[in-house]
Amino acid sequence: MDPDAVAKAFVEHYYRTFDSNRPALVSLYQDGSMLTFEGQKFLGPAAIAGKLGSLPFAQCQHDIATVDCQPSGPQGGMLVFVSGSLRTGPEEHPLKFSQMFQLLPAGGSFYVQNDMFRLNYGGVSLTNTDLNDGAYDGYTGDIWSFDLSILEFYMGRFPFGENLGKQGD
Amino acid sequence: MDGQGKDEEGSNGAGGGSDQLDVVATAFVEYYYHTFDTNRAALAALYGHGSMLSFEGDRVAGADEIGRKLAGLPFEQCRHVVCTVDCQPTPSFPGGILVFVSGNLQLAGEEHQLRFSQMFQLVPIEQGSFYVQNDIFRLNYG
Repeated sequence: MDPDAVAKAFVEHYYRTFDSNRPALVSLYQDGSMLTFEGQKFLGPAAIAGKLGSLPFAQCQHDIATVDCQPSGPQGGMLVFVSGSLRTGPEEHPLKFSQMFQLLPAGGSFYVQNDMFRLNYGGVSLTNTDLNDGAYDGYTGDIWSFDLSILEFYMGRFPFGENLGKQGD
Repeated sequence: MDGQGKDEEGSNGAGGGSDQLDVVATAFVEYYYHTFDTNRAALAALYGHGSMLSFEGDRVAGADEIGRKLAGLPFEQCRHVVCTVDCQPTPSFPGGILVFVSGNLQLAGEEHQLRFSQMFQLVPIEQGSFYVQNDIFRLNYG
């Protein structure tokens, strides 16, 4: 079995399942499986599926840019390292991410023993249209709305109050 | 969103063990990039006969080849700034650790920093040190 082919097949299956039938991901993990998602740690299929099911977007689309793999040791495991982007809606900015898996063989197939996910992004920037005499800076505005998407990803809701006035107060 | 990641079912479970792992992983990462940035030739000593490196998709195996690959990278001076370090135990080797890093790479003479991600599988040897069994590196283009 060609390890590259196995890795590629796994990655396609994983993200297709994530994007179209997220609850079904639970079957890819076993009791000792671990997920670290943006620094938060989860153990076991129920906790992992609970986290993935509670992410603050109903729909998403992963686009995979790179897949690297290496055999991980005498048990026949495989390390898979993915980078790509993630879109949480047709109007949303794509978020870049990296993710690593260790797959271990079981019953003729593989399960995910280790899973770590991180968004890749630069710093948060702030805009203040008072500095521009009220003129809208489209470039800065794009960075701002992208950063808001990231905050929303973390927080599960729009980051600021519901009743914002024009000046954001 | 709860910040601690300790859910009702399957809370991190490893307890104090996982903090210990974080300490080890962070210490390794600091040592690795400090060595890379100041004495790149010394990195080869971190790899063994069966180690593997994938660097931007190029695969090499064994400490000698890996040392040559790293020494031959097309930049003289660089500085890694680590932003995140995540780690988990791996059952593939007793006491083994998977480490997942993201950060920035500043090349001498370049105006803009490059973003990178890297993963390691560390395997313990005597006296609390580790060698790198697996190493995968990717730049993250923005």
